[in-house]
Amino acid sequence: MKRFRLLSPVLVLLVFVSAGQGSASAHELKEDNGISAVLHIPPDDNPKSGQDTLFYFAFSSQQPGFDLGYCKCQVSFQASDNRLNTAPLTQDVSDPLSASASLTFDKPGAYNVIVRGQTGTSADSTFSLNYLVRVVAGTNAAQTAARQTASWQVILLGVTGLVIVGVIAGEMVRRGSHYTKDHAAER
Amino acid sequence: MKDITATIKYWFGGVRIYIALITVLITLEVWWWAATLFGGTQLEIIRTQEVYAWLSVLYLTLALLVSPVAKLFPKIPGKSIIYDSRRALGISAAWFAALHMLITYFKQFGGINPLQLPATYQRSMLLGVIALAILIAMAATSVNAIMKKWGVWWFRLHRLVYAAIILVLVHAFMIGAHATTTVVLVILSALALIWIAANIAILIKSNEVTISRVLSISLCIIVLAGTLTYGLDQHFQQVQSAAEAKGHNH
Repeated sequence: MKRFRLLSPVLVLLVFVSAGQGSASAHELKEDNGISAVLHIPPDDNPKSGQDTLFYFAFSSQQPGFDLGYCKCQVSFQASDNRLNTAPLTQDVSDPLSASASLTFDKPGAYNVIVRGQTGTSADSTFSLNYLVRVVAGTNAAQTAARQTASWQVILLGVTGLVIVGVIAGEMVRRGSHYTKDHAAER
Repeated sequence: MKDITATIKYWFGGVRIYIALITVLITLEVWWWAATLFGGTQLEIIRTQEVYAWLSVLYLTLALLVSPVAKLFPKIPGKSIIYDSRRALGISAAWFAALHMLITYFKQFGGINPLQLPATYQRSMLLGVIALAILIAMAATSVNAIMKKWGVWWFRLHRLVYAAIILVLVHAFMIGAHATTTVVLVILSALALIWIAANIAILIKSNEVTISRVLSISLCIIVLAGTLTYGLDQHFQQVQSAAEAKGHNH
């Protein structure tokens, strides 16, 4: 009990208000007409405006013989005000079913990333995969600082809770008779 | 009533319930942290499942280090507490692995037919599911009564933890976006070296160096080295792909 009294002033419970932050929608799987692809945006699936952003697509096809080299695939990036940018989809040299595209978003916001292509020559062989991606401001120091503060608040509160549990555990285990015999043997 | 009080007193005098409580707290903390930072978007789901996956690996590693530490340092204080904690650590590892799988499959990939995933994802998920099945089987049989009833078969099942850890590493290296970074590979290599060194030291200390024990450790070293080399290879492939993609797209 003495240990509790010594430690309790040290353990101060801090209550923080944390702000949530909206962020990107990435690392998604979309499927259409037998073609599916997983989108990954390195390094952390969190694209930022003003920076070159790489989009990786890992494709899968239920149709045999699907080849990214012949699918006439292209990637479109549509902003909320309907501005449209296109970028070539480049097949990965080491993996024929992976491809990438690169774009620099000039401002933050929500974008539709649309991959279109075709698996054959007929009209019903086209596919369209639509991903909703939110681009955050690349150099917004205030937003970055707010997120970091919120993150540290949550972590600090969590660590405080774990320390409290640890101290209680230590005291209860010390008092418990579980390990008494073993403790005697160790001496 | 006396029985209930005695049972409660028994449980709260042992270390396992506190490990379980810490596991619950960490589960809630991770969910809260991700919700705070990424607020109900896909990134919240990604980060949550990633952290749960790494927590599972951490708990599994701690559980695997219990025996070598206790054998290498027989006079360590609280040795019985360390041994007692192993079961709770293993069950917690299975818990985090299950959470990782459920969140990834149902929330991130929308419960899609696995055959519609890219081939690499299919193979990696298969390895992950096998590893998870082993961990869940071990967690479900972590009861004294089952241990006594099954005898040697219980030990044979629980020896599969070594296969599970290798499957987990390969699963992570195949599709884990951040599992093949330099920092992660260095930490995993260091842990592997510590585990191998500890087992070699125990073998030498035991003065019972038999051929089968030497072969077992040698096999572990080869498998671990092969797995980590695969991770390193995946790292270089990703670096090369990123460089090629940047070159093509400019």
